Amino acid sequence: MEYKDYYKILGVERDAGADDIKRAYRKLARKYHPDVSSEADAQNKFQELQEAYEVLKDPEKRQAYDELGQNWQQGQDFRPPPDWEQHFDFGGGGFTGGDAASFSDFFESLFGGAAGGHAQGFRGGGFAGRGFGGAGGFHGRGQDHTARVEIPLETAYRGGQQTITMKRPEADAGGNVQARERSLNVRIPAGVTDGQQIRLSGQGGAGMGQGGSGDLYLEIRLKPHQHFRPEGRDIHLNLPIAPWEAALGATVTVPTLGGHVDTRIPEGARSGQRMRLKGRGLPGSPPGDQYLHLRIVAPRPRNDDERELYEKMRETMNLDPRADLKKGSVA
Amino acid sequence: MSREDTPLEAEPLDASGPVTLRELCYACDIDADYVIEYIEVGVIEPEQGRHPSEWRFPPQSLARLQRAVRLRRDLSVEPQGAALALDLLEELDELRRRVRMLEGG
Repeated sequence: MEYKDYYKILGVERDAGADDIKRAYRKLARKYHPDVSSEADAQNKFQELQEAYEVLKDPEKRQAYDELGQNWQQGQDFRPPPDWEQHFDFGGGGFTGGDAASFSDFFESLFGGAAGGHAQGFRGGGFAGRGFGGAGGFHGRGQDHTARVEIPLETAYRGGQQTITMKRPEADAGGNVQARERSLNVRIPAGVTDGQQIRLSGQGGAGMGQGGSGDLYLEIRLKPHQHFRPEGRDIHLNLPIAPWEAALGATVTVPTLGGHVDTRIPEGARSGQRMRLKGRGLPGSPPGDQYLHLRIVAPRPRNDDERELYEKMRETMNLDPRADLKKGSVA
Repeated sequence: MSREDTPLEAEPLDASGPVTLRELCYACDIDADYVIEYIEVGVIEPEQGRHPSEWRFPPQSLARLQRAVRLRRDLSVEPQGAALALDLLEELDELRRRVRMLEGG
């Protein structure tokens, strides 16, 4: 397993005080929190931060960690010292906060897993789902869980199966909680939109006593598509057209999520003009529309004939494309 | 790793209609008192119902409240701050989406 340099992760010196550590953690946590951050790797970064803070904020754990010595490098192959277990007693009880179920092997080898058989950690796709300050009270029903799932736009349009993999904590015979991978094959209903949640009944945490299982909430994220840009149920598409198609009007073939359709470009179309294909967006009641954003493509002349055409246009059309700019200028 | 081959049926939240106070409590794993605290600062708002047991919230309230609860848990953001942060984050999402649209192609 790999050695983790917790000081480096938090960007503090090895002799940093508790306040410095707290400040560094808070600052980085704000930057990398998955709900706030736009950084691509925010989830993993945030997890790393939580783990580093879990160790460095706790004087006992920090001391133990420091005793490994300073010669280790981040990522170096690591094995805990043979007498580690006797030396420090973290036997399953070394968990005071954070989301231990998703901490690294390195952390677990030093401090053990989360304490007790009460599975409070859950991390699926997106969120650290530890219980909120014990405020949940005692429900017999199992906890609801939350995860994020990224699907292609095509799946949102047609509906379809999607396999999602989540880490969730399970208690072993000794009462230690460890993260286990679990995959679910989910049928995504047609017409889901970006940011929408879907519910899987009974797929959350197991209930206690007579209580049923909780539900699993999946937040849908649509993968960026090469051409289509979704906005709610509407779909936007940039549509390149030739100058003569814009000028004279034309029937052009346009891709939609449901296949190609023919549509009429009106005579005298402008660049930037929007056209709507009603009901061609994501399904629903009502279904979304597809918007075409016209982009006129000006071809480069490739030979003398084509250059002559441009010259003829210049002489015939007598256009001043910057007429508008002159109005506001100081004479 | 366990694997189930028959796909699980998923229910889109806005199709299933508004959510209740009870559902919010379960989904966010917090007590009703906490939910009410978030209602008071405008993180979420019931769209109908006079009494808490009759309250119905728009389906997107659930994701919003979960986000607010995570901000409190992970970043110590109080409800009032969460309301502001969520509004700004939503505005930021919208602006980012527009930038993508303008830059795309």
